[in-house]
Amino acid sequence: MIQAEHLIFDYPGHRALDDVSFAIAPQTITALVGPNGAGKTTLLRCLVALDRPGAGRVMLDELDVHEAPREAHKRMAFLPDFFGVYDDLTVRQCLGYRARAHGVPRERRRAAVEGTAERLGIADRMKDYAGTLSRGLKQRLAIAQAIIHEPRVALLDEPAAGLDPEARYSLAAVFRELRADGMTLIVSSHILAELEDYSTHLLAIRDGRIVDLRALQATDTGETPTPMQLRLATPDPRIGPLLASITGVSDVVVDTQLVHFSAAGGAQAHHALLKRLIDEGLPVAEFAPAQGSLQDSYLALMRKQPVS
Amino acid sequence: MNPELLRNLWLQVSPQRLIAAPIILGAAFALAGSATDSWEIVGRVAAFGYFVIAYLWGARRAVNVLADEIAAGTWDGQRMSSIDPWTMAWGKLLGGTVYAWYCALLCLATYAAAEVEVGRGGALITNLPIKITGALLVQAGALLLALVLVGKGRRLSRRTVAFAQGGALVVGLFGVSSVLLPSVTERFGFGLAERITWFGVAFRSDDFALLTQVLFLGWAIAAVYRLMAGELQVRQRPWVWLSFSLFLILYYQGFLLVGLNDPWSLRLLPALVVAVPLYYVALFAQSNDIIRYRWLLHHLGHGNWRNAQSLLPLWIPSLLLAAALSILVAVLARDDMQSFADVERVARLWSMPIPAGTLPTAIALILFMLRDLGIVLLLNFAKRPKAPDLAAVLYLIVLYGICGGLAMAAGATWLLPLFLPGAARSGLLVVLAPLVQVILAVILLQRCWSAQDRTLELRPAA
Repeated sequence: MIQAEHLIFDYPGHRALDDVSFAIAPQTITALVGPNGAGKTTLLRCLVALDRPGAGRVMLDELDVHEAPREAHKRMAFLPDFFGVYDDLTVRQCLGYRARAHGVPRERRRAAVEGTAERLGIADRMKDYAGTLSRGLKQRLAIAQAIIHEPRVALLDEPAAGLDPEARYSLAAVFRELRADGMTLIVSSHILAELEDYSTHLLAIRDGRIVDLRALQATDTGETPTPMQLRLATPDPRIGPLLASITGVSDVVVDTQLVHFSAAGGAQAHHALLKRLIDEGLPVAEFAPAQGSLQDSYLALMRKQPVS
Repeated sequence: MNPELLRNLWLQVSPQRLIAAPIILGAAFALAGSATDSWEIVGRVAAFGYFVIAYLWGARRAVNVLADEIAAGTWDGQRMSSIDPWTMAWGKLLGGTVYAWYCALLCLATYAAAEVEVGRGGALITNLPIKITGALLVQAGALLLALVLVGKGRRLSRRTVAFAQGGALVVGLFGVSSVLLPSVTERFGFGLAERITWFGVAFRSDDFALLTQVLFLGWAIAAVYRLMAGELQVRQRPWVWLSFSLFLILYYQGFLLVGLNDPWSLRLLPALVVAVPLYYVALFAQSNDIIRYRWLLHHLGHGNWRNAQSLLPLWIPSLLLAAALSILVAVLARDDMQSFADVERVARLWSMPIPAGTLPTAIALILFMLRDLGIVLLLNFAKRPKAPDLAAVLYLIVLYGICGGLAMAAGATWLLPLFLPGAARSGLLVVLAPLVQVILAVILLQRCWSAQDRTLELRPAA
C-alpha cells in the first residue's frame, strides 16, 4: 500500500530520518509513536510529499509520491499537527472549497460535501462559520476537509491534541469507521491509550530510525504476524512442540496453561490453526489476539533500543 | 472555476462590501469635484486613488494572500490539494487582490471619464493598459518576493510582508517603468523621453513602457508559477532562470545602437553588465543551507543527475554565464578596448567601474564573484546562522564600498586590488589579490563543512 524505502532527511545540525524503510498494509490503522524529536512529523511530511527527503523514496502502490506529488495527493490526505481552517468561511464553503481543490467532479461534489459532513458529525453545522466552532468540531472539520476526496491513505499528526475525552472517543470511532470503509490510516500521537482504541499496528521511531513495526490486533490481511495467546484447560506438554512445528507460528512461549505466540495470516489462518489444535486433541479453552497494553509495548521498545 | 479564486471571492466579496466601495469612493470624487469644480482635479484624485489601491494595497494583498495562509496553518492543506501550480499561481494573484481590483477599477473608470471630459480621451488607449499592467506587475512582483522569502524558510511576518510589498513597488514602479527607461535612454543619448529606440526601432515612450511592462509581467508570472511549483514539490530545473537571464541581456542589448562594424567586445559588454548582477540576485534569492549542498554533492557523486538538477543552485548557471561573458569580452577587447570612446560612455551610464578589457581583469572579476560566494556560503553554513544574507550584504558593502573607499581616500592605491576587480596596472596583482581571498574562503568553508560533519556524526548517506 504505502512503502518507505531508505528515507534520509537532514536538518541543519541533525539527521531527522536515518535510512527509514517500512511497508504499511492496506486497510490498517498504524500508530506512529516515538519520543519528542524522534522524527514522527518529518516522516509524515515526507510520506505525503510535503517535504522532499535527501535520499530514498515513498511508493503509494506503484506511484512514487515525490515524482508525482499532485497525483499522489489525489489519493492521500494529511492532517498536520497545527492545522488551520478558514475561520471566515462557513463549514459548507470550507468543504466545498476542498472538494474543488481536490478535483472532486461537479456532479459528485454536493454528495461529497454532505456525505463527509455527515460522516464526521458536522452536518448540522453547515451554515456556521468555521471560526465559531469548538476545538473538537474544528478538528472534525479539518479531518473532513482532508478526506473529502475519499483518499486511500490518510496520515494524521496528533489529531487528538487538545480534545476532551468525549471528543477523543468519537474521533476514535471515526477512524475505525474510515478503516472499515477501506481507508488506510497512519496516526501519530503521544496519547497511547487513545491509539490503543483503534490501532491495528504499531510503528515506533526513535532518533530517526524505525525501532519496530508490529501488529497489535489481528487483521484480515495477515501480512504481519499477530501476537496471540491461548489458554489450555489443563497443562499439555505437546502444545509447545506442536505450535513451533506449524508454518507461520513463531515466538512460542509456554507458561503452564498459558501460551504466547505470534501467528502469521489473517482470520482464516487463525481459524485453521485453532481447528488443528482442537483436532490434535489439545484442551484449548481460550484462543485470541494478545491484549498487551500499547503503553507496555512502547515502553519496552524504548527501553530495548538504546540511543544510537 | 479556479477553486483558489472562488475561495477568495467568498472571503472578500460580500454585498455590503460591493455597495460600500462605490459609495465611499464616489463621495471622495464628488467632494473633490464640488470643491474645485474641475474634472482635472477629479481625474487626479481618481488616478491617485488608483495608485494607492492597485499598487500599494494590491501589492500588500498579493503578499498577504500567502502570508495569511501560512499564519492560519492552511498552507499545508493547500499544498496537499491537487491544484496544479499554474491554477494556484493565478488563483492567488487575482484572487488575493480581487476586492482591491474592484475598488481600483472604480477609480480607473472615474479617471477615464475625467480624462475624456478634459479632452485627453485619446491618450487613454495606452494610459489605461499601462496603469493596469503596471499594477499587475507590482502585485505579481510582491507575490514573487513573498514566495522567494517562503522558499528561503523565512516567516512572513509584518516586516517581511512590508519588505516584499516595498521591493515589488521599487522594482515595478521605479525599476522598470518610471525611472529606468527614460533615464537610460536619455543618458545613452539614443532617445528622448518621448521617443525610445530599441533594436533600431523607434517607439513612443508610452508604447515602449507598455511593451516593457507586458514583457516583465510575463516573466514575473512565469517566476511566480515556477516558485509555486517548487512549493508544491514539483521538481525544478534552471532553464527558466537561464531563459530570463538571456531575455534580460537581450532586452538591454536593444538600447545600444551598435552597427555591424562595431567591435564585438563593445556589443557584448552590456550583456556582462547585466549578467553579473543577475548572479548576485540568484545567489541571494535561494536558500543556501548546508543540507542542500550536501545532497547536491552526494547526487553529483553518485551520477544521479535528475536529483542533482533539482537541487542545483541558480547561481551556478549565472556564474558560468557571467564568467563566459567576462572572458569573451576580455579576449575580444584585449587589443583595442581602451581606445573606445564608447566604453567610457557606457561606464558613465552604469555609474560603476567596468572591466578594463584585459584578461587579468576578467579573471579578477570571476574571482571576486567566487569570493563573495564564499562569504555567503560561510555565513549560511554556520551552526546557527542568524540573518546570514543580511550579514553577507553588509560584509560586501564594507568590502567593496567602505574598505575600497578608505583605501582610495588614504591614497593606498596598492590596496585597491583587494577590494575592486582590476584596480591596478599589474595583471599579476589584479589576479593574486582576489585569488588569495578565494583560497582563504575555500579553506574556511572546508573547515566549516568538516566541523559540521564531526558534530553531526553523520553516517555517509545511503
